[in-house]
Parts: sequence; structure tokens; C-alpha cells
Amino acid sequence: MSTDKPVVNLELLKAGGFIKQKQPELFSVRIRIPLGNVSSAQLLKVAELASDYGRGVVHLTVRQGIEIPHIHFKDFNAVTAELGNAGLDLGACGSRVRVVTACQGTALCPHGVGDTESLARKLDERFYGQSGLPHKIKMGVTGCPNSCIKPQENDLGYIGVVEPFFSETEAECISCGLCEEVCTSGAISLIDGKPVIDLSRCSYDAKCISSCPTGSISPHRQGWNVFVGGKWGKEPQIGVLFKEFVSEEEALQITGNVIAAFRKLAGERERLGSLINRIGLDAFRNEVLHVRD
Amino acid sequence: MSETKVEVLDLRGVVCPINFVEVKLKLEELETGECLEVWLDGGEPVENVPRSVKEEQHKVLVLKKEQDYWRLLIEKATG
Repeated sequence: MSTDKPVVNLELLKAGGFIKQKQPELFSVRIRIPLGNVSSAQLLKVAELASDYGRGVVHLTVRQGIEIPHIHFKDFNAVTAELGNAGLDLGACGSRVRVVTACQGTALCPHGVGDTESLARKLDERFYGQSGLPHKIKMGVTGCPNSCIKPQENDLGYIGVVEPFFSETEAECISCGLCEEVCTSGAISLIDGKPVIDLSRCSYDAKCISSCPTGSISPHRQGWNVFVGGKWGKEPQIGVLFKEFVSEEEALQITGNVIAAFRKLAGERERLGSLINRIGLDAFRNEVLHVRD
Repeated sequence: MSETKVEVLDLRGVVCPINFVEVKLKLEELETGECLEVWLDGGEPVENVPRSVKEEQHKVLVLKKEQDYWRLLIEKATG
């Protein structure tokens, strides 16, 4: 009887999206859902698999993913194949670049100022699943400083930002004071009826620009603020600002260099945030700037 | 012109985007160059309606905070 029991490498399975349950021989299957977007047809397939191979339930993860629990290991191949037919892959676990999370950004959020879909897709294409890292790497992309995706709790976080600029060359200011009213960070005061913007207090959420009824406040520069070193777990910490107002291409480049520096400098099982704590942000920044990958 | 009676559309208590739809409908009744006064709540209504009016090429002449609402004066554009 013991001969027909397959040998199972738990670590290999975990890296590939099969997470061991406390119940013997059962696993929770993690599905890769980049940006939290999944088609209705795929959802139906997931529901079908959960009924056919699991116990008719799915688990929604904190990283916008889906897991199907209670899958017996003898069904791994069938489940993997059926997911593949629906265009779904297994999700990365272990010391790899994990699925990229994102809010909907400019695609449909009225507050959005950054094209999260574009940046997150490119991050996913270029970096997802990279292995052989000292520890996991998580990335989160959010379209404005409201930070709904909580980018600063990721190893790499990206926030869409816009710096406002007041000028009457394009349109005359009618001194309504709406910009001052909508600015939640208190960066705008009307002086002689015209807005004066204190950029040291500005949150770069572009509320003043989007609400201005004449168009006399406009974007001066716009891009992504990149944060590094965020993590949760037993010793949570918020990521720190690495670079402001970078272009999409530069954000991708920084990401590649940060991962390369992480590979080079971090000890076994050391998170990016812990590495930065140990060597200091300046030393880490210096290393990233001189990394050639 | 400034002596002309301007119609007031009181949209206090009317939420987005219904308030803007009402402004649009009212503006359709006016001739080019005629004005409409709109009263809006603070918050979302005043952040959205004046900007939307501008995006439709109408001119925002005045936007002023009164006691507990915002007074918006619009001049209807051509078309």
C-alpha cells in the first residue's frame, strides 16, 4: 500500500502555490491575481474547482488574491491544468517576488492621479516570480496619496503624485478659495485673493488642481513616489521614501536595482526593511545607485 | 446686464452627480451669454460641479462661500 503514496516535496509545492494545511494531505491552492483583477469567467472556473476538488469555499487573501482550500495532493495536476485552461496561474509563495497589488487609479477612481494599471502590469511582467532571493519581495501600487493599497507596507511601494502650480497665464483666478478649502494638508492660503502653495506641506494629491473651476492651478510635475523597506509580520514597519516624482520607466529601473542590491547585501531570511535598518538608508541608496544589473 | 434677474437653482441637499445633471438641464433652457446662479453644499458638490461646468466650456464667473453653502454664478457658453 505504501508504494502508491507519492513523495511530496513540501517546500517545492509551497514555492509553486500549494500551501500545506494542518489537515493531512490537504493543501490550499494560491492563484495568481495581479492587480486584483480577475474576469468573471475565471471566477466561475475558480468556483467550479472549489466545488469539484475542494469543499465549495474560496478564501480571499489580503493581497487581492484567491486561494482554494482543501485540495488533496492527488488532484494537484488536474487543478493546475484546469486553472491554466482558464488563463490562471498558481501564485508565488516563499522567497520570491510576490503578486503585485494595485488600486484602480486613473482607470476609474475620481481621486486617481497615477496610471496604476500600467505601472503594476509592467512590474508584474518584469519582476513577478523571481526566485533565489534572501526573502520575499512584495510590491504595491496606489494611484494617489490616499494610499488605499497601503503601498508603504510593501518592500517596494509606489504612489501616484502631482505637484501643483499656480499661474494666471492660461486662466484667470476668480479668488473663490476652493483650493484652500479642499486642501486637507493646509498647504494653500489665499494671499491678496490668490493661492500661495507651500510645497513643504503639500501631499501632492492634486485636489486643488481637479477642483479649480478656472484651471489656474495646473500640474507642474507628476510621477511616482517610491518607498522601500515596508513590511508587516512580527516587527512591522512603514516603508521610507526612496525617490520622489520618478517616471514610470525610472520606477521600473529603481525596482530592478533595489532587487539586485537586496540579493547582493541581505543575509539569509533578511527582509529588505531589516537590511535597510542594519546598513542605513544612505548606504542602501548608494548601493542601489551603483548597482549594474 | 448685471441688473438682469438671474435665476437661482438651489441645490443644497442634492448629491453628486444629480446636482450637475440639474445644472445641465437648466443651462439648456438658457441662451448663450445668459447667467445662472447655483447654490451648492460644501464638500463633493462644490469640488465637482464648478469644475464640470467649466469642462462643458461654460464660464464660472463667481464662486463664493456663503454662510453654509457655496454660490456659483455661471455664464452659458455657445452651443
